[in-house]
Amino acid sequence: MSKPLIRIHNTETNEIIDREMTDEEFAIYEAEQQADAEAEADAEAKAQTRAALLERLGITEEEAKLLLG
Amino acid sequence: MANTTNFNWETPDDTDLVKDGAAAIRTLGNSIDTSFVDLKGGTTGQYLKKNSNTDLDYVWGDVSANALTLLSTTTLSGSSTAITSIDQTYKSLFVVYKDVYGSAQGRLRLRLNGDTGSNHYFQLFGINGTSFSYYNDANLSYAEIGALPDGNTYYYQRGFGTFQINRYAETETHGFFAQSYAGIDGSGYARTGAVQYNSTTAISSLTFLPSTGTFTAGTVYVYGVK
Repeated sequence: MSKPLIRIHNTETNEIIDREMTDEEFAIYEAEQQADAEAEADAEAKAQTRAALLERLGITEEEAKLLLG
Repeated sequence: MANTTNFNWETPDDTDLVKDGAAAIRTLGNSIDTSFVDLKGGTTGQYLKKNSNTDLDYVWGDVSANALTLLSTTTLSGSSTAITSIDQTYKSLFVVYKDVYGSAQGRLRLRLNGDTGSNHYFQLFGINGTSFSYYNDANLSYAEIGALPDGNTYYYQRGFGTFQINRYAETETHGFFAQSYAGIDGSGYARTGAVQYNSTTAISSLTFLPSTGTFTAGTVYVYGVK
């Protein structure tokens, strides 16, 4: 499978290279994508927990903000 | 002898003879001619400036080129776009990016010096539509500088922003403010905040990254500031 393409613009020579990521670059890219996915899943889980809690309390998000404010 | 108040040019006394008037006028004229000799010359578009603290010591000169010098114009593409070998002879870098959007909605990131170590920090706050939001993170291989739209249906579904890195060529830690806007799904995402880079290396490259997907379009202009 081909790796994602990246662009490098050398401003000294004005040379523009479009090439595939190296193995090292791809490993960093994958690690960042994985971290993003985990952070997104974590945020989603928190949002669901918050919604469930509000439902149990029988109040809206705005009302919860008023309580905490 | 009567002399003028400011430049001490010689003028005829009230009692001088009329027959000496021509010489007196010539003397005064020559004094003025000599005093203002620095105003002679110059070319179209030049400016006159003081050459020393001496009265009437002027010199014609050119105003140095624009304060901003365009160093590079780069079209964003792929999973990252690096702008490398940035001229190190300016005091600041002023970066403008515009009409940026990608293959997927996400966030726009910036990596300094291609540094994939845990050296980037950011703290942004902004408005999403009518809601306030804030974002911050530390010890990353990039700093987030804004949101990234995924469409180009309307003119506002693109991202733009600026940041200026002062003393970028100095071997010291770097920090700067970044401002951005992106239109996503009919809402505006305006951001501003701070970016810090925990390295004493001078900044010679800027890498723009989409948090997901690839860049579809966008242009980055890098200016040097004297």
